Amino acid sequence: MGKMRVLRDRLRALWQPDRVHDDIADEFRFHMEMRARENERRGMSAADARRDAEQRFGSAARIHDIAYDVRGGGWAEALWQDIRYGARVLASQKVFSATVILTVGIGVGANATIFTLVDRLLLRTLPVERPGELEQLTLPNDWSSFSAPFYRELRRRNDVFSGVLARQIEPATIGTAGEARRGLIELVSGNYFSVLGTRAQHGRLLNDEDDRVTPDSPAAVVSDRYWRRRLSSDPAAIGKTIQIDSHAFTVIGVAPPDFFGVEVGVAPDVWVPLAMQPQLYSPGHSLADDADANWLTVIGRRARGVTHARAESGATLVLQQLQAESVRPIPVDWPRTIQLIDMSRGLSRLRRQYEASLRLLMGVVAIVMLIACASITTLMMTRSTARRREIAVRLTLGATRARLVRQLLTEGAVLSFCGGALGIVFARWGLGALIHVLPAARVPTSVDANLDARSLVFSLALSMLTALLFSAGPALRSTRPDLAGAIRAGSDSITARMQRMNGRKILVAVQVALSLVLVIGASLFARSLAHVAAIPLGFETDNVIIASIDPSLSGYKPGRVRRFYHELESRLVAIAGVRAVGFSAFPLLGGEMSMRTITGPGAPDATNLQSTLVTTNTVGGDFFAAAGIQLRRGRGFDARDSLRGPRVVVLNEAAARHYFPGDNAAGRTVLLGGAQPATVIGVVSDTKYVSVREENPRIVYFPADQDPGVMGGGERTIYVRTTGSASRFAGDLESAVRDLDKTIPLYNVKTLATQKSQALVRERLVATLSTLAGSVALALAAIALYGLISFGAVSRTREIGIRVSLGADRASVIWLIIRGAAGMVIGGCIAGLGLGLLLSRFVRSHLYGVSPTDALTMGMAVGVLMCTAIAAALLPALRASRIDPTEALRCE
Amino acid sequence: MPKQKPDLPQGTLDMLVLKALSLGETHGYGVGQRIQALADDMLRVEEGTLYPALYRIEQCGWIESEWGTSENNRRARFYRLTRAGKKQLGIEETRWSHLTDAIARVMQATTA
Repeated sequence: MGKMRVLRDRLRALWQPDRVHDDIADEFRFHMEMRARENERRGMSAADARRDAEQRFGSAARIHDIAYDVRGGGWAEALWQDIRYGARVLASQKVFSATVILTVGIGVGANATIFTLVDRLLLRTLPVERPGELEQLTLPNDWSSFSAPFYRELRRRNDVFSGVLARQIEPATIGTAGEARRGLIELVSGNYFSVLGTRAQHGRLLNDEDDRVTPDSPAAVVSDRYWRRRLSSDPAAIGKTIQIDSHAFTVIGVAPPDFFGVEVGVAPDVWVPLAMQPQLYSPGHSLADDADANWLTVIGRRARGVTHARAESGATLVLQQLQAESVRPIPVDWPRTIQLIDMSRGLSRLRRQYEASLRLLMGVVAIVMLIACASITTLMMTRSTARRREIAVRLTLGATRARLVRQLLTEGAVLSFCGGALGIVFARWGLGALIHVLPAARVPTSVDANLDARSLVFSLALSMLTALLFSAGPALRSTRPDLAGAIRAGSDSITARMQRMNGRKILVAVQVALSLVLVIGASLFARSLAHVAAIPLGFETDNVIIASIDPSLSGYKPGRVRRFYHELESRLVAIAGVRAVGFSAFPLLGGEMSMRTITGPGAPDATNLQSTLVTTNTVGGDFFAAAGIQLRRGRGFDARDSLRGPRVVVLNEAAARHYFPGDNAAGRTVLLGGAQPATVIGVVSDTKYVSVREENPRIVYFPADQDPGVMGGGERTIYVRTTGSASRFAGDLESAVRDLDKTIPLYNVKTLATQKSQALVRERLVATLSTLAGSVALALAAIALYGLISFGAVSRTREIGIRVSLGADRASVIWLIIRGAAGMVIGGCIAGLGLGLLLSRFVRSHLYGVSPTDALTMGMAVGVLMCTAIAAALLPALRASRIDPTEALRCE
Repeated sequence: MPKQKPDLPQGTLDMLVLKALSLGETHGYGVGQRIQALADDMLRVEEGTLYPALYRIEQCGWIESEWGTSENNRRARFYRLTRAGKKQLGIEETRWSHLTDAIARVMQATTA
């Protein structure tokens, strides 16, 4: 109670210090009046009574101060005074303050943006109970999918986990009354929520009962986001029905607000029991007893007291038991040990994809922050020189050094705080933009674009640290007692000035060095991106529009799916300007593919997966023409290759060389799965498939019409090759589908060129951001250089005046000024090159086709920096060269 | 040895203020008067120093204050002992008697 009272009083004193002063004075006055009256009563004269009262009271002013220390705002009030004074001083120096705030803002903004992404993807643990106990099961060869029988047996037999869950995430069409949208569902084992230790926000979560058999109305748990957006946060939504891929589910509960499943950046809208797999995943085909279908992520929670190593050997034991029995969880030639991966931070494709890039960018923004600090320190030093007289006056008037240092630090903190606030605004924009470019693959990613408390704390802490860094030095220096002598002379000694100039020169040189590192990095990444973008893909990305579609989600059976695509093809081909139309089961450069074991004369042994497991794609329409893939031999697919016709395939050249070395593949036979014969009817040119940077893979193409349509449902990517710009045809494409069946949604509509640039998003991200960082660094270095040189030139006005009057010409004056800058720039460049070489090993893995120590790149970067430096120095040098000698000698 | 009013030992002013207020509500001047009356004018207190002490004690929550009207119709701030203050006075009294006992014993030992 006492504490609250003190706080309340102090805060009141902050708002109304005068009232507190008046209160105290009133009370003192009353006291003295009373004493004086008493004295008079005892017979003193009025004047004596008054004097005696004052004497007995003691020094009223001193006691008032002591009393105010108790009653007033205390430290809070002193701080508030400092802040107000600081704000006034800063407001009177608008250009200086704006420069510092903007610089801090850029630094903090860049760091907060990257930190937020790093935090979301790399640092934060899952919002579940004791996340440190969770482990993902994988094999040493990075395999991480397992079959339902393996999961069942592992769960039953292991003695190292307190619980084991299985899950698979899948896009689906989710509908409530009146609307259907593409969303994500997670098929989960019944114990999913209990193993994670998650409790329902409303209703209840799934349990083993829900996962037992396929009931008529299966249960579903919706995410908090879905509940808010689609079910209007209605608690009565529990018990309602939602449609998933045209199957009815009953909503039994809502997951807690912060729960997003187990995969960072991929948040499902609905959780459904694994038992619904035959309806939702690989429709019509139960995988419950299929030991060959590896499709589940398996996650275990280590039992109390079980170490990571012991859990690993326990899981491996089960795997080896199963392998020895009739269940074969993995191919025979694979390593038979389980590797557990720490799951405390969740699964993340995004993390795997971006971890290295994010760490790199973290380094880049840290360097930007250092440059910002160096740049502000230079500014602060210049300013504190200008304020020397004010500080000296205050020191001689009796202000303590501590008080002045505190004042200067507070000013720094005010600037940093404003800069930090600006940085948070920048970070919000930056984050929104960054998340926007993270690619939407088959499974759309969702990373929250809001800055949360952690990011805000990070930004504020960073800006306060900056304040300390850049204001402590100048504050301590400028209040050094010997400087008080400055007040007499009006200007300080030459040596002191030289010392300060040297300090600033070193700081500018540091900035030059760090900027050079960033410029080198930026040009390396830009050149690497150019190299990657120039890699031949084997197909033509210009003038092709693509889109994804899945008629099976609207309840189409395989036969009707085939008819649908034929009809769509003939409608699209009829549009004026369309040159070719094709389909593929997996999109080019979509990051995914399917694989199949196929044998041929060059690779006869089906158990040798290295040699016979080959990438496949199922294509329809005139896929090769639409994608711009060249036919080398034989023919492409046509109407002859129907479900009733003989099995046929098309190979790319790499596959043809592999299966038929030194021979013409067209007309020959390969064996699908090592058994079923299929005739090779043609050979096409090599292409990339999954990503731009891969080696051209061996690809076997199957005709869509011979696909019984079991695995993978009916999802296809449509390719439309057009004359001229393809994006104009998006509307035609959509209306063609709508005319056929308006219940089938078309999604991921984009040009093939966009698909390519999305496949390069990581490279582009690093190149763009480092270029941005490099430009900012250059600008800051240029400003610092300009500021320092003009300051130097102004303080040498007299000297220049004398030189000019002694006959120096303009060129020699310009040279004099530029020569002063040359030392810093050259020194900085040498240091920067050294630093660049030191750091080169960290960027090697991020580069394609260019060495991190590439001499041309380094030379160019030095050139860019030199040009910037000369430009920054030339302006003050020109100004100095126009100095009128008589004018210059008269001043001071 | 010249006769001299002793200064107040460190930290005892608070106790005296509490004691004075235990006799009933009064203003700052009244507190000073009471202390002097109780000490038979033997203690010397710089009257003004009473006030920072009062404010500090009030922040401890042992006394509370209110503006009111004095006996001569002047606006004055009146102080009153709180329940916590009563308890505190008890604690201080015990401590004080322990301390004086101990000191008295030491002093007797030396003179003996």
